[in-house]
Amino acid sequence: MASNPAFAAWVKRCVQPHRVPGYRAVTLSLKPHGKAPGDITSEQMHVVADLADAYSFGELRSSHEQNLILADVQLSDLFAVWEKARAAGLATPNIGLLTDIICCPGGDFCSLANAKSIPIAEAIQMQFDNLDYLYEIGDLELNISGCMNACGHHHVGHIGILGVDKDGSEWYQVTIGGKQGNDASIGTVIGPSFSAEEMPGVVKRLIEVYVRERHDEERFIDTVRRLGVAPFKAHVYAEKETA
Amino acid sequence: MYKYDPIDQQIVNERVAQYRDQTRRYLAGELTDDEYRPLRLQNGLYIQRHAPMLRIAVPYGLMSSKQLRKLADIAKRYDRGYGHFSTRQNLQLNWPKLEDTPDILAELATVEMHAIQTSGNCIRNITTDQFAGIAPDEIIDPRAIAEIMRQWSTFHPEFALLPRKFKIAVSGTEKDRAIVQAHDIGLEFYKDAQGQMAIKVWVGGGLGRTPILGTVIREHLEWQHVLSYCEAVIRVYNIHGRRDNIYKARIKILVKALGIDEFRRQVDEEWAHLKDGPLTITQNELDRVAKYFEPMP
Repeated sequence: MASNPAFAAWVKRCVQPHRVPGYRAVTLSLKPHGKAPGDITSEQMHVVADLADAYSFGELRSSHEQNLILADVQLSDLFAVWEKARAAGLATPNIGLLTDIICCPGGDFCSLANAKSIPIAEAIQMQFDNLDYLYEIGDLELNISGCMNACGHHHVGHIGILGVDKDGSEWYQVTIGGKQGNDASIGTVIGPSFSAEEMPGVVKRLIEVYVRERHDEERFIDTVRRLGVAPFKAHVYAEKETA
Repeated sequence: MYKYDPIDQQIVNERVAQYRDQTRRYLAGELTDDEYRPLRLQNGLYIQRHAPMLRIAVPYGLMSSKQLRKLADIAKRYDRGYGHFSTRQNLQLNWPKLEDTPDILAELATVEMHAIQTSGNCIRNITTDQFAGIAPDEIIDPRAIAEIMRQWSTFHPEFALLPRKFKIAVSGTEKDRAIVQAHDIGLEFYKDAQGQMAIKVWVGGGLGRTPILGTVIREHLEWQHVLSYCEAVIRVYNIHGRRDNIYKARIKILVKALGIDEFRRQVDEEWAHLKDGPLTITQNELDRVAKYFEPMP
């Protein structure tokens, strides 16, 4: 592992603990940067099915975060799984990071949507298409819904993005401080909504505040909970006014 | 994972035949759009911006390699060679042709899959932790109960036309990964002081237009009564949930309007008629279903 940083990065992000010693769960990322989150081609489905047969008792799971999981992989098989998954574009080492975005189909497909969501996810992924920086930011859940029906679970995203319709054009309202889990919370709106073009920059500025203010090892969500919305809001909208 | 018995297979096959005839009649002009809409929605078929969308159920997110290969082949043959995993662990096809959907459902039935109750105002696919059965922090593997609930909720005649859709999540871990607090009913499994499997029941959570985290309606529910208790909750909702305003039709709005204490009182009153009846799960039945979810390694 030490001699293969790419494999090590994948193990760190995409391999999860198992109750049986010698086994691990593997999350196959359906979030390669710049593609619709949760999408998978027929060819990739065949690769995943083959991996499940060869390494995980012929079963797999889907997650609400829109990834696929091989639940019962032997430690000694991890490298082989990684090589095959990587060749099929299923090994982006970004599970639990900013680009592991939960995203509904949005205005590209859905009749209910007020705004597109997939292009916003893709633009944010490309803005943060730097694994070293993503690792430095650490655990962060960013969820996008194209309308208030919230299929993209934006309310419980550490950063939540909601597509809204204002006079027939697409705008995006941003919340921070949402969280899933036992201590679940609903995010707080930081202020007036943004255009699609502004969104990658808005996320960038939220991250800037976090990186500036965080304590050692503090996750984004915990910094937001400690400081509240105000410093994030101030930085995002200060930039906006001077722009 | 669970394997269909002959009854499961028969009802899915019969549903395909029924839907095939409904679609034939629609395409022949014998059924209007309004008549066909609820029929297709009961089988997961939406009409979207550019094309129909078919949402295929993946019960609690668990699939076999054989099922995934079938999904791959269906996407290749009937769609544009890809699918989309949704935030409820299901698979959506974005570009099927309406006239092909009976064939797609027939193909799905050959691998014990379907699209029943993936849309419409009914009990939807039950979701859970993707690491169920293997997570080190898991106390109870909730999948056997989830499967028993899947069977109970599928074609449940009383709950085919609820005020609005109804989503249930189950979880048996220390750290929740199934967002049980953001569901109409969230079932949190744990071991009680006697070491018995018990359930903390959350109700009235949901995101959407009015995001509300759920409230605990019952701290300790014996697992044998999970069907009758959920039935009581949904019956109260079915009777009193609003049908005049789609935006206020989810159970979360009813729970807020009544207050959790009054809602609980009504549920308990209803439950008194149901508890210890035929919906009681026996140890034999739990053991029978749990066999399908034995640890792999």
